[in-house]
Amino acid sequence: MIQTIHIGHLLRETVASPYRNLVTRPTGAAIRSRIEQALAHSDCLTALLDFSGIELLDFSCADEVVAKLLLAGEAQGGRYVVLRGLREDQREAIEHVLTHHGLAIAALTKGD
Amino acid sequence: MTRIIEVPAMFDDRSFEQFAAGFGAWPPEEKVLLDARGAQWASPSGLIAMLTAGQALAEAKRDRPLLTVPTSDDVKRYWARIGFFRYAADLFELHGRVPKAATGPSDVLLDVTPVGSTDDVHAVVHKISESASRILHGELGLEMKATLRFSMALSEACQNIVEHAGTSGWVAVQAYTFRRRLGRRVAVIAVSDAGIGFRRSLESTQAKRYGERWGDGAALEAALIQNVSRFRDPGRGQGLAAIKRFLDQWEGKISIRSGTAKLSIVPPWDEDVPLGEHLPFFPGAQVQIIIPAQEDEAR
Repeated sequence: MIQTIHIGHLLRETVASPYRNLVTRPTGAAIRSRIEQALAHSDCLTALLDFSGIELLDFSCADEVVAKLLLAGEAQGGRYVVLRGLREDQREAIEHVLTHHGLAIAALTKGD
Repeated sequence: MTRIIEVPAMFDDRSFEQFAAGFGAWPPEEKVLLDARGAQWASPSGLIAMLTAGQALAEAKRDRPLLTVPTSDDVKRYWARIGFFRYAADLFELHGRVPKAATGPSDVLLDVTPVGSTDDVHAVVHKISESASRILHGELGLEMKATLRFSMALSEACQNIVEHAGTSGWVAVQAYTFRRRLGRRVAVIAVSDAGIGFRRSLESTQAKRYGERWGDGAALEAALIQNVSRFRDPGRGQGLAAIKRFLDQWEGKISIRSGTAKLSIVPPWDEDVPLGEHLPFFPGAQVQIIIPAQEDEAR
């Protein structure tokens, strides 16, 4: 089974407003914490992080949300994480931070 | 006694050193007066440099400085429009009549805005998205994805204040024409803080590595060229690296001035020196990012 986590929903709950920009490290860390809570309460082996509700994703958030999630998952012998709903600029931000860490992740493209 | 510092008639990154030199040894003992009567134009970096000076003097517990406003009504109106006087009034004793700020469309993508917290960065990014697309895509001919990367660069530059400066700072974004240097329109992000500066920020983790070479210039080199951060978190130090990559694609320029040094990634269209050292001391850090219009739009 696959658990879908809508990052846009988490963001709006975290900042308590109809906000669509995933920027700054504290925000990224807060989102990651919510993701980890959701994963901890789930038996699913695969988590699908859906970015389709997100407008801007900066490098700090990409690092906090995706890279550190993968690093923590590695340490815990974790599950599979897949990304969906990324625009090109968001994909590039994530690719930049993952390359820095020597990590990789699968992402569904349009039509998948 | 009062130290009178003349605001350059054309106040941009090139005349910044003249402005900084006016302060002498920092912080000046005397009361300071910024004389802007002869000012004809100021870039976003010039405007927030004045605010940074006022803030730094306040934090150094010096007497509240004075500022004589520009004589030119057009200049005063523009400075009011970009929000300069709104904050200058808190930091300076203003001498001269200050007009009310006009509203409506202009080349100002982002008024002078204080940045001191993560919430401020969120607000800045939210505000810029409304105007950026119109000017960056419509006037400068940047692709839509470039306008998003522009916002990312702005976000990262502002976050550096919150994460490293130890105090608040300022940001302003504007589009204008670089007539002599480039002959085309540019969008400029200016970020400035009155904080501890790059040297002090990186001292505990980097000074030993540089030995006797350690100083303001070496600190800027560590941050901008080697992407080093004062945090041991391996994910840190990527913000400036990402900005550099973005600027490389669009023939942009980034300059960071801190303390007595200034380091720039200089594109082919500019004649600036990559590294200036032994400059007049100025507190904190000043970042300027310039994106030129793309060639088709330049004609």
